[in-house]
Amino acid sequence: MINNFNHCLESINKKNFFIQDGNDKQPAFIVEKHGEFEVINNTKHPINFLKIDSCVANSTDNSRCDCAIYNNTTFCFIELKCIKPKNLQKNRRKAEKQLEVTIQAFRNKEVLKTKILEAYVCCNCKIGTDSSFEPITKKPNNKERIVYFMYELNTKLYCDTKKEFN
Amino acid sequence: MLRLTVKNFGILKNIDVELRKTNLFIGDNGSGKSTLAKLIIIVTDFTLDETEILQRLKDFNIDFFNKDCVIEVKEDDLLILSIVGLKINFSKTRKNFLQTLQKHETTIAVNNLMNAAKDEDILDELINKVSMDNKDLADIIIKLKNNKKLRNSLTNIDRSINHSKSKYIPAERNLISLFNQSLSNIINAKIPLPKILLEFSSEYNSARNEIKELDILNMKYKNENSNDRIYYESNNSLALENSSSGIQSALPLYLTLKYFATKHKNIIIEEPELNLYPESQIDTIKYIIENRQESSLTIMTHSPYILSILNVLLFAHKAANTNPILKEKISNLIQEEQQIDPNEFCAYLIEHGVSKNIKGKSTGMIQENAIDDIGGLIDNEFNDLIDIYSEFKSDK
Repeated sequence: MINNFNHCLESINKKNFFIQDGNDKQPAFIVEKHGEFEVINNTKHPINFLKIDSCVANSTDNSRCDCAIYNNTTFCFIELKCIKPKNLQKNRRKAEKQLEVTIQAFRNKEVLKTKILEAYVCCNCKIGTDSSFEPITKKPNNKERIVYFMYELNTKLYCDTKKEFN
Repeated sequence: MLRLTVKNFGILKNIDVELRKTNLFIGDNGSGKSTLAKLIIIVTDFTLDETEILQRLKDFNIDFFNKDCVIEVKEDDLLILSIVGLKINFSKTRKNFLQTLQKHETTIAVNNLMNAAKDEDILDELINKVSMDNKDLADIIIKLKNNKKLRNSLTNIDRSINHSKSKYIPAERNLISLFNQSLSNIINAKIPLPKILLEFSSEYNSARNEIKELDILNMKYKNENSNDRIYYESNNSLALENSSSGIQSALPLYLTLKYFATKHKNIIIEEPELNLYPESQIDTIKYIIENRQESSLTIMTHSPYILSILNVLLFAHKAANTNPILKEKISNLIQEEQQIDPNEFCAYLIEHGVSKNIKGKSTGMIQENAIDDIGGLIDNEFNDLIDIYSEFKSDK
């Protein structure tokens, strides 16, 4: 179910900002710098930021992805993972599943119509015992999932920590 | 489409696989892949009777019959062969086929000899010699000599029998490159070589006598008066036995694949990646797919590069067949002959003697699997080393 759409929506009028995952059932949020996912906006228009997990969709089992960003042409679903490297593959596959479920839930929504759909698995690596992290840039060998997303969900799947709107 | 089920046969505990036009098997060492490959060759050869099946299992060193084993082969849901315990059963159709084969076996063999003879004088000499020892045989030869229509028919039957046979390109094929020239000496010295390797050597020789020149991995192979030469430049060549290990593994594969593809309906290839640089592995798979003609292929591999390129060739076919405009664009990147139809493709992981389907249901492509996970294991070990070293440095 998708509820409180407008309540979970923010319009961001910045050239550059970051998205950070919320703690303990809090939704994702925007930070000025050093966040998990970087957004670069080279267009003249603001970017819409939609909190999905723990806002639009209250999934107690973490089955939905964290958030989405979009403008008039492109809608991007994002799942944020900040993990130990040894758990990378397991978490990446879980993220793909969360994105898939969310895209299916949004399938017939007006906000998706006529837009290019993209899905991002954003993986960062925990460093040390504090909250430091750095991006995991290694690309997975998931051609079959990329084709699945394209054919079944009409969505391009990426494993990346950044999106640039041009 | 064939379906093979195997229970309790050597290391194979529970196998349930379909065999289509292109089949892929992956699995750890000792998982049962090789046993399965050899079993596929035997049970898909519809020209073998009961005695011959038992003999082939011995030849391949997979004589694992026991009272609990069950092997079934179905063709389009019809059971054509079953082995339960120690008993082999054929379907009625297959029994009739084998009876016909046995009835004409001698005549077909004689016809083949006569085809090889070609010269009329040699044939007459043959008749005279044979008449002295075996009148029945002499009668067959005389009957065939004057009946061109019958001879053509027998030649076609023989071609179709050979077509039904499955052919094996083993992992040990590089040994052929090394000792082929001295094979007769090795045999005379009674050095025990596996029968399967001797058979492959014979087929390799037939292939190289038919295919005298071949482009292989940016080099050229030439059979010069029965000497195998590899030209790495237009005027510079090496004897095969002095060439790289990659060429020694690849050449028998390239030659026999091309040779088998026109003659046999099933080809099983073990580890096409052997001794090859990753880029060469990719070129080799493209060569195999492009040159297989109508033969079904079964590939056993350990290589992540081969899995990756197979997925590319599968997706190329899938995308190209979405739309005629796409077809042309995609075929400029991946030739149509190299594309693999996902509907005619199967992929399995063999783990502890059990088969697991690893083909995506809707995509028809190979899913992420155990081979992809190995990279992760290596990364984890590396990261653990970094943690240990970092801790040591900060303690200092």
